[in-house]
Amino acid sequence: MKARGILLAFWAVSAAMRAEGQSPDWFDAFRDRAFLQGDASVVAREKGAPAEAVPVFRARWVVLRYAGFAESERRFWPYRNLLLVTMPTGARYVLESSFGFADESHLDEERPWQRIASGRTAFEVWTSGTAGEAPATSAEADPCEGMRQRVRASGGTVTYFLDDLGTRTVRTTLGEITAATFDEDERRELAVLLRMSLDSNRSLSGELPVFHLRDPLLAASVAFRDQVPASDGRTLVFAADPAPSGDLASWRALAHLPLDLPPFPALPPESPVR
Amino acid sequence: MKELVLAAVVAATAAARATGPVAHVVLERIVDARGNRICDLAKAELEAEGVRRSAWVVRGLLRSDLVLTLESVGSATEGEIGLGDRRGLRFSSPAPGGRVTASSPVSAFRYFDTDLSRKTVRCNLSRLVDEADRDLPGAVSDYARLKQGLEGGGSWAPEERPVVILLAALRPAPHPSPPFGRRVPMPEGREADELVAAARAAVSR
Repeated sequence: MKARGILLAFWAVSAAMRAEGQSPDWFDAFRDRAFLQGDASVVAREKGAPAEAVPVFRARWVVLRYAGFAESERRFWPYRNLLLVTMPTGARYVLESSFGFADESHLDEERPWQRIASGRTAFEVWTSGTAGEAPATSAEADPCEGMRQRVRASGGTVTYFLDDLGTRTVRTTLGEITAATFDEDERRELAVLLRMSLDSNRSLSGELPVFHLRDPLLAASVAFRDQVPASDGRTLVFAADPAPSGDLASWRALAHLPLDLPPFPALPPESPVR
Repeated sequence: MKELVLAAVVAATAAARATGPVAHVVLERIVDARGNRICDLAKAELEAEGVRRSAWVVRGLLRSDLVLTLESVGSATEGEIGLGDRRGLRFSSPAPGGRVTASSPVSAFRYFDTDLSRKTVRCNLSRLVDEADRDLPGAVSDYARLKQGLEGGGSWAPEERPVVILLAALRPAPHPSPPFGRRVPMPEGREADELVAAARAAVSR
């Protein structure tokens, strides 16, 4: 009860800050105790390349869960699905597909969704609203109703609806924001991630919520919308990294990882649908 | 002494303005079926050094004047819709079909006309309307209703482009039976003089 009160107070303060025009902090939604649900190391290679070929990049796939609700609702705890990418140049990037604590009575508040961080900047996609609201064609309906996304980056901001991601208006604006956010080297390296094959998509478990290895790459598809290749141009696949994974400590600052990461307790089996 | 210098500067500026080109103004009165006034409209136009400026001032339809201005330089245009002296919403386009920049006093959004019906554009424009003037949606809706019932209302003029854009973005419900209106000449007098002055001020802003 006390914890719930603190959470509500936190959200009230957060909403007030947003009302005053301040950008929300991505990591405000991930402040509870964290657990490690998944951790795997992979390399990206050209399809058909020999196992000893130099990887196009290396990545550590990490899924974190945050104790946002009661233990009995552990399945729905907030999560961060992270891809910690290291390029051959040594440059590091953190891509994530996340879902923070959501207060059901304030679904119009922005919630973290997709993020790309480099050593010097970040490109964030937030989401707000709920799907399935009034149809877009009805007269006098609020044109902002429905689930929408907001890009917040050092290079600019824009609000858009997913259905409009392919329009010239959204593509042009995203291109400008990305160009102003990342430098030339970062853009060149991040564009490589777009070449990951759609077939190369491991998942963490067969039970909801299912975390996919490719989910964090969606952030790159938004930021580099105009460079997303056709499926036959996606020639990179993930393979298990034979090298030892090592400690996550070196990622702590860039990926905002908590100091202590105990394993996420196994979920009880889902009750069958009757 | 300082006041004297200041007064001289103000007088010189006023004289310079007075000697500049004077906007040509056309006045109209719109009346209902019984001949009662609905509103008055002044259309001012000024052209100098390749820049064409026009301003429409609609008086009496709303509590404040509805002011529509348009500036054209070659194929580039900049239109604005506002109420009274308040800064409204501005639409700048480099060329027909080009990328439009819509700007409120607070922020801006850029879009292509072909995407005007998309929710992304409609949502961002509605945000700009909120930032600019919360009375604008009502003004656009009332003006559209006037136009809908106007005898020979016909096509939209370039000055009315901001109204057309906001109608597409905000989609107010069309009036099932808009009040009939027709144009008549506006009688001369103080009201006409004041409206001419307002239109000349708007076109020179």
